[in-house]
Amino acid sequence: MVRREIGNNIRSIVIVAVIAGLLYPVISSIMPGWEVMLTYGIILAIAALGFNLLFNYTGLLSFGHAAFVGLGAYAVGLSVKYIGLRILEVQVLIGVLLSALLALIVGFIAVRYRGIFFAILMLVTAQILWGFYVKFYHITGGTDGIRIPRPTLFFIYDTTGLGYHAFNMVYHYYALLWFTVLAIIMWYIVNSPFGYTLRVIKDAETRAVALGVNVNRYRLLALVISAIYAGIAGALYAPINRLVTPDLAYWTLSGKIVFMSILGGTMYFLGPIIGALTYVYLETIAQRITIHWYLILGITIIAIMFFMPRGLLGLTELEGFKKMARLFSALRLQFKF
Amino acid sequence: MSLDTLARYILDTFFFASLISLIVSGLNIIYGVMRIVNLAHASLFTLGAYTVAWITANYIVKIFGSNLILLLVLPLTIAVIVTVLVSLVMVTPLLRYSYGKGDAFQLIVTFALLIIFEELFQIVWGRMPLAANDAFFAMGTVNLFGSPYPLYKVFVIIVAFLIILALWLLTYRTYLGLLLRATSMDSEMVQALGANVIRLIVVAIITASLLAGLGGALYVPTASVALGLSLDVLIVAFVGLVIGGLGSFIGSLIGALIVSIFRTLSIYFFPELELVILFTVALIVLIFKPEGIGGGKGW
Repeated sequence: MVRREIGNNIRSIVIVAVIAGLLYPVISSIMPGWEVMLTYGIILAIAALGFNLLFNYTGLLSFGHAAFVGLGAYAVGLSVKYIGLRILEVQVLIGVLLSALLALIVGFIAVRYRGIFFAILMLVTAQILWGFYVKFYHITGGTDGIRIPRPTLFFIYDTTGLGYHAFNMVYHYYALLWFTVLAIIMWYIVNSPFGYTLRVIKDAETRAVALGVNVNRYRLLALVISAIYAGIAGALYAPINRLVTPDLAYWTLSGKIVFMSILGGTMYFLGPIIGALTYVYLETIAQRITIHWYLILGITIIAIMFFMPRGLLGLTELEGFKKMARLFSALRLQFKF
Repeated sequence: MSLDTLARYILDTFFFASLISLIVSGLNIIYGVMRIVNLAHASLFTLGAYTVAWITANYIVKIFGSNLILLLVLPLTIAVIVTVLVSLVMVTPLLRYSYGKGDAFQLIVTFALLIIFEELFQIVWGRMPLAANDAFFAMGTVNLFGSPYPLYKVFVIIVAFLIILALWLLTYRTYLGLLLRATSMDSEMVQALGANVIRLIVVAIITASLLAGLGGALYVPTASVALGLSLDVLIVAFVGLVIGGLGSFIGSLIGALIVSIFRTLSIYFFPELELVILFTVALIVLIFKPEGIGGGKGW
């Protein structure tokens, strides 16, 4: 039986995107400086969507998605540094190809295993890349990273002349466009026969095999798609962050991606998106209170796992929320809005 | 390769294998009883290492001077006690309540614990590496085919061997070990026969924590301890587990030895490629012998 879940439709994705678009000028006028986090949030949401395709729909937990995020970001950084490429779409494409290639190589063996084996194989992959970025500093700039100049968007729109705030604003809507398109594509993937096959593989692997499904091939494809999403997120992350550092491939970033998804609720399509948007603000607030942010992060993960396993969106299934929703729709009928 | 280099290489391999086998056998005990791979286990190793480094440098040397016996025994004992206490407060309850909640749940919870430990180490001991080589230098060297070799590493190999031997006796020659092995095969049946499985689980976690803390405590005089050590140790131990097979006592020891052979080789010749080499070894084993050397045979 397919459970009716909140927000599993294209309309909700568009609503979230519109809200994220409208909120930007509002936040930047009320609380200047806090609007950039919204951009980070929607970019990280792309990575979290990729993570969740693997986790919720395929049943594979990856502790190494930072590998793909880092690869996407370094595709931008290295292509600027060595061939002076600044057309962001082309750089994203390079990031996508590299991420997909890495996913194919590692996945070829990793997708045969679930649980701890898959999780740690991905973790080691990310650590190897991180070690590469740190140790080969004459190529990658080491821990100082690579500075990213302003990109050229849509092949022709050079953003070099824009001021700080103007660029952030332009880039926010640019990233939002990517996010909307990618989220809608992900929705079609998840609700396609392919997506349902993945669910069968997760819930009843033996049955899927008996039905003639090549389980490993499906898992590999899911991993590649997931890696592409994380790679795009990494590439989009670079220009707004203005700097690409090895931290983008470090295991704590993988932990953050896991955290975002479970914060929003991994069993919902919108979960990772809501989680990522909430996460960036939580992180900012927590970092103003304490420098030991990771302590709070870890404790919160454990608390969510034990006491709120469905995440924030799980709250919508509480009776009180349902009453409110019924009241809202009654009002809507009454006043026709 | 001359004779003394070869002997040095072999001893280094055994030294590293002793440390890894202490961790891997702990992981294996917990896995056997609970079917959980505790990612935070490596953090207990690091905790043992930090405790020894901190205590030796700040207290032991100042109070007792460089008395060899005290330098060896006192920090080790304190570190083991600290590790077990911390494990009782932080690790044991979490693992105990994650029991039976599924792979993903346990992995995420223990991963969060790994993050928490990493941050706690930074709060307590800061970002700079800590070192305490007093015991290492106090023990001096032994003549190995004409070149000196640190006696401390030989000491570690002997201690680890004795501990592993004690662990073997515990699991194969005592009633408690019988219960532990039975739980690893069929925990429901053990419960039905009247044994307290939850108590067994707690015993297993404490034993494993003790081994991990001891490993870290033995390790630190030969090197320094810094943030990120947990993850390095976790990865090496994991490769050892893959080679040896999850849930096999002897297999895990062989796995620890094989992973040490490759790691020491890579440290000697290509230090930058250490992780790549270990990763390749793990992948090759997963392709050709996915259940590991001792896998599927139980204890």
